[in-house]
Amino acid sequence: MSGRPLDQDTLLALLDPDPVAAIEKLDRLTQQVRRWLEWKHCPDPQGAVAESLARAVYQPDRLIGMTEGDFRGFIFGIAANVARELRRTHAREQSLDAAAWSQWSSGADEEQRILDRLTVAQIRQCLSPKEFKVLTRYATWDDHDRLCRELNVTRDTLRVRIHRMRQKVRACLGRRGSH
Amino acid sequence: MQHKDDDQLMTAYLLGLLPQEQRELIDARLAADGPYFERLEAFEDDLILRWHRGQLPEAQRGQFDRAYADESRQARIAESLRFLQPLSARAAGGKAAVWVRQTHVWIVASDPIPRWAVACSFILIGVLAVSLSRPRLPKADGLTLAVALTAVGERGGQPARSFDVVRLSSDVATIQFQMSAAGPIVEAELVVAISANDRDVVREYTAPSVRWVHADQTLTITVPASDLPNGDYVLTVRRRSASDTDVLQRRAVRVTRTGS
Repeated sequence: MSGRPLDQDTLLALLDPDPVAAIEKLDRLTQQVRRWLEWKHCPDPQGAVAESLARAVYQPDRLIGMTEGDFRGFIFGIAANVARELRRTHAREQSLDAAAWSQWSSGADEEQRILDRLTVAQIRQCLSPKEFKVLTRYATWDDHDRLCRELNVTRDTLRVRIHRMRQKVRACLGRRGSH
Repeated sequence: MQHKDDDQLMTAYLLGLLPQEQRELIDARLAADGPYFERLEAFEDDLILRWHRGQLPEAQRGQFDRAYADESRQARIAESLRFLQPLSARAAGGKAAVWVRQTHVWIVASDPIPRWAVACSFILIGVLAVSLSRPRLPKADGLTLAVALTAVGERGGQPARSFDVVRLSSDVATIQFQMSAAGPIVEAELVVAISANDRDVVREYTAPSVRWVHADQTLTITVPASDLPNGDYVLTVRRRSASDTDVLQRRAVRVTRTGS
């Protein structure tokens, strides 16, 4: 990479005029890219996301004037290339030294440390009583169709609602952790 | 109908069952369509939960185990389940407490028929039923971690060091090793020896801990995590025969624990 990277404020402005909202959007986007790379069996999704962002900001001429949607597509495109490169490197490393497995970092340890802190009380504080009740039922009832009928929603909608609650709890705990 | 089709497509995408062209189409949609991405994330969490509860069909379960064998996807499973586990545990604790309270009231309540005698009869019947039932795998609390093992290279009759690494979190109680094994195989004849560095036999496992599924030609060995402290192990699968050289498969695995 050569030249000057795009400064952080300009990058965030691509996503949202409000810097706080922009940071949240960037955080969400990087989480999604990471998960997408997991689905593509990328050997080091966390590292690939960091590399993709680094490559993106070193292309300021292409970034200027992009919409939020353009930026999303751009990052996904770079991430796909990074994943391809990593897979090739990974295949070579594996054939040279398979014991290097234990050295690979997936960020799993850090995630586990964060998740270890989860308790019911913390989850409850992050959600409204109604949300907490729905999440508890989802976690404990085998029959999710029954829950769908109670809430009068489709299974797809229920899944997305639960997913948003997870995001909410994750963000809530993240904020507390940084204080 | 539309939802059912979508669910099948999402399942096939996550389990790596789609042809390349179709996969690329979905990748393109995921890159462009935020709400669709969110639906797939939500679907994956639900798929993981159904897998954990044993609600996936047998064939899909094997596909899941293979697709989620790599490290980052194992971390995704851990994250997905850990999030819901505190809630499940709390509910289970609550239900158990209510049951104990109600049972206690029922037993001590005055009644012409001595209820304690009825309760004892139920307990006796339960004990008899358990002792007469065929041996089953011990039920362990905590997670079961499924690990698909890759083949070990053989050089000069000795297994070359090519470890699959199993990272165990503290809540993993059981490890389910999986490997492909072409049949025909008689499950009852199988013996799996797990040895430390291919020398000292740590333990031997037979059915029902060792299972062979004809449908997808997969061998599954269920091992309590406590049997394998951190270290390198070789799994040797052989037929129980007069000759000890009848080895079917050999795999190497490194067991580590996160936080240790």
